[in-house]
Amino acid sequence: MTAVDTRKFQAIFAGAQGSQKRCIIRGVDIKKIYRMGANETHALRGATLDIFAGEYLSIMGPSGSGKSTLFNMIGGLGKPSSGKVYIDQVDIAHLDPDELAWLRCRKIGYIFQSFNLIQVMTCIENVMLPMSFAGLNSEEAREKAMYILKLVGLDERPLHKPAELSGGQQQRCAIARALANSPEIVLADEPTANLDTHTGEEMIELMANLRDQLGVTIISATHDLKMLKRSDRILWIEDGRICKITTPEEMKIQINEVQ
Amino acid sequence: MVSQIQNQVRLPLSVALEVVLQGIRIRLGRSIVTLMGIVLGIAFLMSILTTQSLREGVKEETNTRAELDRMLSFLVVETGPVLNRTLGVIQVGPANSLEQRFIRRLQKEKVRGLNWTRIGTAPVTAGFPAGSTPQVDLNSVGKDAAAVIVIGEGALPAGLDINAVLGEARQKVVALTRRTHQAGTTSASVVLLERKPRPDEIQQLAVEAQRNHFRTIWIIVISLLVTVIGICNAMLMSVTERFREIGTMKCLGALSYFIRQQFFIEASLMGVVGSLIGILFGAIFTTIAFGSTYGMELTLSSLNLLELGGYGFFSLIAGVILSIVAAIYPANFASKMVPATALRSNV
Repeated sequence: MTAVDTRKFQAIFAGAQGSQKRCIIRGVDIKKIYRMGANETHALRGATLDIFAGEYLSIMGPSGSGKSTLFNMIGGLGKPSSGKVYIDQVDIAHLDPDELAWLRCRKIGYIFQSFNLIQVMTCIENVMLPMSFAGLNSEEAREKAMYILKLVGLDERPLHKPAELSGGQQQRCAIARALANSPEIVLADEPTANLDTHTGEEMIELMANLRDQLGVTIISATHDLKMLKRSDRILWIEDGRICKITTPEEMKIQINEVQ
Repeated sequence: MVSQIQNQVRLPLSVALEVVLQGIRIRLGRSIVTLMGIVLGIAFLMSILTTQSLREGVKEETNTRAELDRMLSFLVVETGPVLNRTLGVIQVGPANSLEQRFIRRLQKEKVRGLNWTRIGTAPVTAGFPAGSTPQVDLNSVGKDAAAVIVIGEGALPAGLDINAVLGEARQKVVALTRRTHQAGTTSASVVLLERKPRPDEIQQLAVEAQRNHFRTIWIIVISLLVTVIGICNAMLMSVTERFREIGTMKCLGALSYFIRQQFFIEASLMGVVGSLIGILFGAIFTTIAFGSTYGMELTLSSLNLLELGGYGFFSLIAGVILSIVAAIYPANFASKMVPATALRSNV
């Protein structure tokens, strides 16, 4: 591997840093109805929320609460049945598939519960894949990928296949891939669910640090209480409705009350 | 700040090709199964075509050999055994393959020599007559000959005195390979070696060829349908296997066309490699099978390499097109998948 000129890349995430109160995702009365034949499932019954640039937001909710649906809507993976989703002030309902792909490629990074690394590619190739989708040539992509792998602490094993890495290392690789095109938003779907407690804590620490360093907005669906501790805000969803938005401090008080 | 949403970059073919090649390398087992489907289908197609070509070839070769035997026997009736005899050959025009083979056949009968001459514009056929008999002039063609054989397209010159040609001949026999040669009036015995097939014989051959033709087409269509369905099935399996991978790629910004492209590239690659293997396999296997039935010598001399090459090319094109056709449905199926599939962990 060639030596990476870190200075060259230090500015790449600068665009994401700015006023802390800039609204990066806004959802207005989002409703989503799934139709299965004659059955109608109301997955979301009107969710309104603002997500600010640079914050660490956790979405909590029991399974079937509409958590995944909300997650898909604000991540540009699906369109709501009614209501509006604005990502960086653009109404995604008006985007065609090409523009949605562009949005997913450059604005949003995805981290999955089961890592979803492409098994046929090496670690660095996985990180380079979104870059090549963004039109970067392979030389630039390789250099940038090495820089990001260094950020997540995986720069020593860039040529290993995912199957040769531990769970924690795979998730680090997936985080690096999510950051590949310097997105403003990182969506993490239960990123610690497939990891042991210790590794899970490491991942949470890593994501929180990345948020501090790079100023990316992190939105994570989770059950992990440790994850909640590091978040700025926690969004509780039940029966397709957002029932409350709290801070970890309020959470702690509540838990103490219960105890 | 309102961000500028743009259209996603279209990736060059080489990126998709690279992904496909890596995919094939990793999923070698499944790729080989898909490949075998194409190999078997094309081998079957090629074997049918080769069979057809060989069957006709063998029939033709057998007929030719019988015809040569008959021509020889007609000649021998007039001349007696040609062993150690000299024969005169007058070539009046381009010799057809039957005539060429007849001359070679005579040489095989161990004639002492051929006095060979060309008349007028008769072209020199490469390597003919075999054994490089020196060319003599017309007057010495008949010298010491047991018979003078006229070959080639056209007629003997009108002014030619056949009696003079036969002046020094041992036996006064003129053999004509064609009706058109016109020996004219002569005291020598004239043998016509050509035989005209009877009309009903020709008609029967045509009917039989027609029947064979339809049966062959029917078998080919069925076998190719089976191949297409087989490849399509294998491809669908490979789509299902890669559900999460495809979903992930879409989440990372891959366009539908990129996914579709991957499947078409994979299908074309498989089509080319599978067809080439299938063509070799089918042709060689059929030739060996024919060889064990009719004898290797007869089979190999009936091989029409040019025709087989044409059939091979046809099979290659058919294999590639069929693979691509078979990939249409799986590729569309894969490209229409929603990116959210990647989030589902149970797939």
